[in-house]
Amino acid sequence: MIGLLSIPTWIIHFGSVIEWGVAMALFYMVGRYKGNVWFKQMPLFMLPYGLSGLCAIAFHLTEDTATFFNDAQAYLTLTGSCAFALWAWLLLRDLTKVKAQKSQTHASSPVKTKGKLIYTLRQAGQSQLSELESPQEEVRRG
Amino acid sequence: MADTIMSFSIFPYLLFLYLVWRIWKLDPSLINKTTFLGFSAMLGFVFVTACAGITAVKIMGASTLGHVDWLHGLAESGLTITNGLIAYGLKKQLDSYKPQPVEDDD
Repeated sequence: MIGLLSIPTWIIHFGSVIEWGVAMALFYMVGRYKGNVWFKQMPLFMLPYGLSGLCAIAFHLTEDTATFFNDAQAYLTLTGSCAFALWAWLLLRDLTKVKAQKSQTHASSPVKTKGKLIYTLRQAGQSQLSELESPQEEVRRG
Repeated sequence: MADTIMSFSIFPYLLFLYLVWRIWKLDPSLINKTTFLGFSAMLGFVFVTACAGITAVKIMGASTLGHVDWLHGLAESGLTITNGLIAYGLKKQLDSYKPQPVEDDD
């Protein structure tokens, strides 16, 4: 026993906090791959819960006497839950916006304005050019 | 007071789960199933910890859950499992983006 907690219970406590930290880093990395700003920002939204966990550990370190840490943990947990809901709402808002934009551009695909027509033609030409410039080569190995 | 605030934090969390479920319906590639399972299982952890806390204080007469080590350890291990699921799901998701190694014929 170290203080109030046995060693396995301490390991469980620190394990949870470490896993949370790993999850924060992984969320950021997924955001980098996906190019998604909210996944990259997720560690920030996960911070209140992380601090809440640290407060729980601090509370146990004082042998459950410093009620300040217990109170702080409760407030941080509420902040964390609100941060999570906010994060999901922001991400969902972005996703639905992108979807609406996509369907809009799809609906107006018959080109109406002259400028847009030129732009579209230029884009089409460019994609053809790039196909010509970099033909798909089969690499023979062995 | 702290207990009341703690219990109220379940409502924004339920909203979070509902919104994440809608995100998953919109684009399943964005959130790994294991990660979502971990976030959902967090509700189970909250329930188990709340029950363990009540058992320790009201039935066993301890001042806090921290004073009943085995119950404390059992309840907290739930969080280790859910956090592990969240991290594991993210790891799987990240691995799926990396190019798969090509098997050689020779």
